[in-house]
Amino acid sequence: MSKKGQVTIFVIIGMIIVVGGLAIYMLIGSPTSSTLEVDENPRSFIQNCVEDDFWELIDNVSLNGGSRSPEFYHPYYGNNVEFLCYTDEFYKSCSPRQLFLRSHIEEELLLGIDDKVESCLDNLESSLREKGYVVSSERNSRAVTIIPERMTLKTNYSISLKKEEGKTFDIDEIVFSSNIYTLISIAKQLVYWERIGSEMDTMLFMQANYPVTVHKYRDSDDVKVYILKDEITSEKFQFAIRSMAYPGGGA
Amino acid sequence: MKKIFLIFALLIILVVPVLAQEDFVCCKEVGGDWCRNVEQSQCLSTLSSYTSCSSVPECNMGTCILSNGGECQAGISQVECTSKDGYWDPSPMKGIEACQPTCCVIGNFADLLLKIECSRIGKEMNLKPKFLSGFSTKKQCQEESFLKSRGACVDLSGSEGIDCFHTTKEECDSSGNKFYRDSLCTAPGISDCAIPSKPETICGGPGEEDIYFLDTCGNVANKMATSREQNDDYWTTMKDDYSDGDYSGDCDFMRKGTRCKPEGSSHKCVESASCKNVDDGYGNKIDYNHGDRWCYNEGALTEDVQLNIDLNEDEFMLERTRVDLENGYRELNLPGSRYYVMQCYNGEVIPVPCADFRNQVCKEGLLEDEVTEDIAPYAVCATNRYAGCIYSENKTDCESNDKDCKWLGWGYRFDGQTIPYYGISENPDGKKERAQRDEEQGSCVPLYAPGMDFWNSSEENMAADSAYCGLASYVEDAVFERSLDLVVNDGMTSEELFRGEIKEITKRCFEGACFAIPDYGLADKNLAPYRYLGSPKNIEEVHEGIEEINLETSYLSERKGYYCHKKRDENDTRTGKIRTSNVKCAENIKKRNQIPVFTNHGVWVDFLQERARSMGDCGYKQPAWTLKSGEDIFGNPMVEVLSADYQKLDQDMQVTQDHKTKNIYVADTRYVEDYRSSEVFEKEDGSAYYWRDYSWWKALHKDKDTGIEEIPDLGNKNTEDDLSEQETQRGSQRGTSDGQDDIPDFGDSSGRRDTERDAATDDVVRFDGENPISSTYCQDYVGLVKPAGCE
Repeated sequence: MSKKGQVTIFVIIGMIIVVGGLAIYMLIGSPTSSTLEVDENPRSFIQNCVEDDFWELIDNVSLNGGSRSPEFYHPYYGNNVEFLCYTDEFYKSCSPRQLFLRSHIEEELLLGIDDKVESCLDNLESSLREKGYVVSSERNSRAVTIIPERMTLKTNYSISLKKEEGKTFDIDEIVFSSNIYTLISIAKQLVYWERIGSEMDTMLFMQANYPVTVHKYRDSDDVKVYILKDEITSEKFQFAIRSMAYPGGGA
Repeated sequence: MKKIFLIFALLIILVVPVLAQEDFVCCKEVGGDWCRNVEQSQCLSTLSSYTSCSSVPECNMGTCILSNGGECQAGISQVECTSKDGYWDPSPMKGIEACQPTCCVIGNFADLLLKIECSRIGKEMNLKPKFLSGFSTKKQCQEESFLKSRGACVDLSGSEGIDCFHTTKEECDSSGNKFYRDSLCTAPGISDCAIPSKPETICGGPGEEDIYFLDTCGNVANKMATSREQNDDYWTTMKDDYSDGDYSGDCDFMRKGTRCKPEGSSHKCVESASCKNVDDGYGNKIDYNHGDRWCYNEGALTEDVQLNIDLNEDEFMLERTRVDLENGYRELNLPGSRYYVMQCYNGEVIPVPCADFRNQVCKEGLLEDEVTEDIAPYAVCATNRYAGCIYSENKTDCESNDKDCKWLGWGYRFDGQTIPYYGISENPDGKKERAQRDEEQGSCVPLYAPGMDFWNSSEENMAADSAYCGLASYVEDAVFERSLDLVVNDGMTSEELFRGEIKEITKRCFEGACFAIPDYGLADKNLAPYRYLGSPKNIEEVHEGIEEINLETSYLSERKGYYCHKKRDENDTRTGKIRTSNVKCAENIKKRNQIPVFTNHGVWVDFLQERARSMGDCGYKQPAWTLKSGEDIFGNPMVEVLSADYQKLDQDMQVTQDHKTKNIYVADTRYVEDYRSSEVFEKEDGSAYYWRDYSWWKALHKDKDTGIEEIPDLGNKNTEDDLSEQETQRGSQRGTSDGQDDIPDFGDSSGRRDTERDAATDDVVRFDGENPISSTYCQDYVGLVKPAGCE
């Protein structure tokens, strides 16, 4: 073969190798890039791991009146909507069923997500170990807090990685943007008015709490179901009340 | 007696100890609350063997505080509070500092919160909260804090000029810049940010509701006030209100429904979306503005939005609506119906249901805004104040503004009393008596018929409902003579006893409530149905001996005893036929009987029906949910029955024979013609017809599942033949090949009757032998199935 032909073959082989390498890289990714994501940003890993389940849990709790599995509820369009305030008597205002609603919801969210968080931390550590890291971690008690415009999952987790060099990450919390605090606050106000034997004007409520809308429905046996909705974030919170019920005429 | 007494005393001693053994304690009820007095068997956790929780210290009420959680709850028992890991304080909530509301400002956040909650949020945000006092609304708190905590934050470290932005002091300090409280970045000499020649706008402020100007650095300056643009101070100091009457940037969602929205290159206060083409229930489309409210009654006639009307004081009842309600006892407030307040909110119609059982009703009117003076439709769910109606004893009290009742005058009182009235003529007290009768002779019933728990089949509930509806029932006696030739001996059947015209019976009634006899008061058989003798006033004048009556043709009593008594003895019954054209004996006030409460049969029946149906879900009504669906389903007609028991009396007014009860009316259907047979006939095609108001009506009762028209069970078998046989007989006697409706024969066992057309009146007349017994008034057959012969 002539020299020109040999050069041509080498160039072609070289191009194949380069293209092939690029193709493999694009399909599979750099062998060190995922490890780089995880060991550079374990917080993001945990957040991605937990997020979907957490939002699903929030939806469930919100549509059930603040509990994952309410014990005392009114069935309403496929949901078991918890009574936040109730009396079985006529002519009487209700007694609150959840003294501290927001704290209760925080507790319910924690109980609902804790196992998942634990599992995500396990996954994080095992994937780092697979990458050759020596991993040590400290797991403390977790919590969920709800404040204006956000929810915080306090992970209280720190992790140390050691390979050629060591690094430590303190992952105290993961923040989720949410307006559930406002919905819970409005729910508490509505419960307060029902407790004192009155019914708040829902129009005034909406005008004072834009963009939250308040829908009130009456179901059987004088049960009221309130549905609060943030029209911008589409978050909902619904609950049931039975208060100041009156019997039918003649009774 | 002694023996009886001893037994009685022994009974008491035995009974009382048994009663005392009931086991009530103070405890947490299963599935219920703490501190309930219930039977031991219903307790989850017993607090005390005391029967009254008021004696149990743990059941004292106070304030429950969750410190870490930042929440307070008033009116909670100690035991319940501690069960939820709270701290219990016996003081009321208003006496606990941490549980007081305050304007809480944390960074850019501001809201009305309890102090304990504010502290918690500050801790979570890692910022120190501020507590501002003197604000009663969230908006005030937010507007004030938005300004008070902000100012110009100047960055002197930049190499390309002096940068500036608006923020809180805390954030400015943390970035190491210089903070100018309450100043804008366009304040002279503090930064390079300047006043634009044509300022751009942005939505800003709490909730981004209002319109703000921007400076040349893009900072949000003051709220837009176009008349102040050239004012230096306007661009120097942060201030909420430069308006001075210029509200160009001040949108007001709460009052006017306006919010900041982009429009072209700037922003404007845009009204929230209105609600267009809303169906008013009558097929009309109406537009409503944001904030408007109106009434809607599901399953019944709705009330139109009223404009330009006067409101009663503190009341939204409209005069026209009141008349509709008084007269609409058949169509309005039907079983199962509920009132709603409809709201237009930002383009969405939001229904707000009023209470069950129509314990609330919707009332609407117009409301003037105190600030803007705009007038807008307004509606509320108001309590249905029907509870006191039946206890009202006069019209004035009944129709007072503190009740929702209506007065049915010239009818029965619920206490059964009759207000004396002897007419005007020759009676010096006549006008006074008349006025009193106008005011007090009647029943006060709900204006909005309340709903009832009629599907609750518990004995207690059914008894209560029956007792309530039963208040509208009444029993009357009417005593009339029969021709001697008909009264042969004892043992006559009811049909034999009452054979003859109704007219004959009305003429021979001499005591009691003659108006209870069907058709009493009709002027003439040739007049249309319910064309009674002139007006009720005319009937009164007959009773006073003034009005002359044509006794030949009228359905009025010809017996003196119905109009007058022996002088000075009201209880002395007399008969005697009236021989002149007026009741002469009644000209003497001392002999005159009281004027009856009801002057004719139609008025009597109408009163009974209206009173019953107005009480609540009483009587015969169509359920609300069938109206819109178009289903022709009514309730059980047997809940509204007017029946007659017949007794044969001797000359001493002693009962010698009892006969079977006959139904005269069942719901809206009249089932008697000469007290003979049930006047319901079934055609071969399954349709049924009944006789009412001297016309044939098609029975509209359908079985909702099978669609088959059913004739209500009358319970009125007038012979030993059962109803089905009678129907068969009737069925065989009718039907024409041309498919036209026939006038069914009466078909009783005594034989077929003949009919013929009256050439003078054009009516169809039925005969029993030689005697005409009834007519069909063809000219009144408008909109109904015309019987054959009436073409």
